[in-house]
Amino acid sequence: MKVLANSCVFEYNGHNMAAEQSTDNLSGHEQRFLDAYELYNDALFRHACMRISDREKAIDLVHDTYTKVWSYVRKGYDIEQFRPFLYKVLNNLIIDTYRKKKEASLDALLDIDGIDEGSFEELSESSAEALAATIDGRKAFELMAELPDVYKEVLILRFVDGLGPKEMSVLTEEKENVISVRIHRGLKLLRQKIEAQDEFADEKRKSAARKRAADKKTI
Amino acid sequence: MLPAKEPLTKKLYNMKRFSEQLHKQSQTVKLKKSEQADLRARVVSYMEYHPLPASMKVAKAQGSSIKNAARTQILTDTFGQFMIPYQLLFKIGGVAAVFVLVFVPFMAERTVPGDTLYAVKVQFNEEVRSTLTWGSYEKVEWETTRLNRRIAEARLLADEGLLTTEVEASVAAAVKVHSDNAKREIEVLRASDADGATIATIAFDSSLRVQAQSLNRNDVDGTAAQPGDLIGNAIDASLVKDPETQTPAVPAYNKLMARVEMNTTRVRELLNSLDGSVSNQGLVDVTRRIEDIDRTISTAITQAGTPDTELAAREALVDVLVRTQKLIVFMTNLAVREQVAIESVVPVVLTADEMAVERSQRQTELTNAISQLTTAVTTVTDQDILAKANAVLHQLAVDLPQLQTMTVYQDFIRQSDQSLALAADALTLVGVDGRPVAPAVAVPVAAATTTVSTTTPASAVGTTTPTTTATTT
Repeated sequence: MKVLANSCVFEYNGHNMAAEQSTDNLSGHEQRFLDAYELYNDALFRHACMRISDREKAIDLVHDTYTKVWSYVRKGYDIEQFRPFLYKVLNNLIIDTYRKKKEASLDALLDIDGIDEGSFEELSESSAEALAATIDGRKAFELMAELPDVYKEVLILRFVDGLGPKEMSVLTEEKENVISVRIHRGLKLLRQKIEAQDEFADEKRKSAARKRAADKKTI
Repeated sequence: MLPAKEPLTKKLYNMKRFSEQLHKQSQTVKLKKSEQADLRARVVSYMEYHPLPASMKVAKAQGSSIKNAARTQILTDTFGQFMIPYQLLFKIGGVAAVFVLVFVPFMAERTVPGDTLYAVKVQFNEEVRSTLTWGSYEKVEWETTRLNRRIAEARLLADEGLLTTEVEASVAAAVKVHSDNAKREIEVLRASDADGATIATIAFDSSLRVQAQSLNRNDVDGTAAQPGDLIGNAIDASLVKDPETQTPAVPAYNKLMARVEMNTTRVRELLNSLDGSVSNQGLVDVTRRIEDIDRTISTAITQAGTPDTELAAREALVDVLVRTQKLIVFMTNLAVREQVAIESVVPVVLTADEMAVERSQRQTELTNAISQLTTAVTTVTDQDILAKANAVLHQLAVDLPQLQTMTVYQDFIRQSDQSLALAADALTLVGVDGRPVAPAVAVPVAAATTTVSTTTPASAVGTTTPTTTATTT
């Protein structure tokens, strides 16, 4: 790689070379890293994009994630499982992004969650499932961006990335109970937003119907 | 608000439905092809510019060679890569630079006209040296050296039978160019340092005269130029002076002495370098010339102390300058050494004792000749021969006392040569075998130019003031 770094020049091949990738001469570390890239780059992008709602920024964050992990590999650390490690790095970068935006609400919410351990209902997994069962997934996706990041984070990790409570706990460095409470509250908030949206839409529809009826009457 | 009573199966179905719906919707968020390619290129580029340490690089393929293992290859989606071995290129460039700047010029130094690298010698090596030569005097010296080189090359080709008319013409043209360059630099020097210009002229002319001698062109006025002798003509043309520059003033004593010191040092260095490469006789000859020069310098130093003889001292140093310059050209040019005798280039200058011995020998030989002729006359019967012999005897009887009273050595030599030649003719006329009056040592009159004088030491002529005899070769 050092030789390459000093002396390689890229030349456009004139066509997509995805099928021509040659990694025969890669070392084990490089091969594993590139495999991890191929496996998780899209999922990481999706996660980042849904978290920060900025496509370009999400790409940059994914890039930064991989470069940081690569730097970690270069230092000689052995990464047994790339997936949680990549999510961990990406999550930290997203938090950094929020901090750079000086969103005080994040810290405020974190503080609140740290104090409030949640009710029994909120700690129950079945309760969360029951709550989720009442929410339309398509509408939830559309309104996900409106949630505070602490809830958005756990909901995306849980329902989009498919991580289990334990993995999420490791990733966010929170207790599983806290994760459960956040999922529950996030779903609840999400449902409220959906209901509010539905009510607004219903009200709007009724208003329109009334207006049409009034118009008919006038005519 | 949660529904109060809902069947469990329906709850699970709805839960699954929520996850599937959300997951399905989220799958619409993905990188475009172009974004994927760009991102991958950026990551791969980062990997390449931040490679793994060598210790971590373990080739995956067991069968691959070490070279291939080290030369990892990562291809991006849209870009391939090719290697530019900068280190190898730098090495090759370095070798090429050494070859071009050192080896080729070194090899070119040995070339002659017609060789492939001759242009490198003339147009690169020598031009670089010309550029790096500072000072008009040094430039004159360098142009003189270049001129000598051209002549030496022509000689080398002539020895091998390769000197065509075209090559000779090109060499003659080069001689003219270098000669003109030297003269131009001399004129430049003259504007700021007249004495320096005169010294440079003397040195330049001396070198040319040696070359002319070696080319059998001692008649430097060019009247006897041979047809086709283009190089000789060029040298003759170079030696022709403008009327204004034919009689320059004798340079200042200090400047002359400084240049003489430099030349004598150079001569001694050359003598040391010739040790072992020339015959003992050659070394002895050169050593004798150096001794002559040292003696003249000592005399000049003594003379310089007195205002009346200061001019003579300067003229003596000019003579020394000419001799040392000729010696330098003689010793540095193998072809010149082979073609001309050192005596013709730098004649021996006799010491006072040697002069006295020579005078004595000549007088003795002349006396013997007179005795032989007197004895032989008694046996001559032919009246015409007898009259001629008596006339010669009468002339010799007059010459002998005159020779004894002559104080100027060169006059004595000239007169004694005439008398001895006359005696030899007379002896031949009267039928005496053999030539009784051959000088044991050929004592030439010291060579000098029109601007150079030969100074005879005062002690040699028995006078209190040195006598200066201007002669022309």
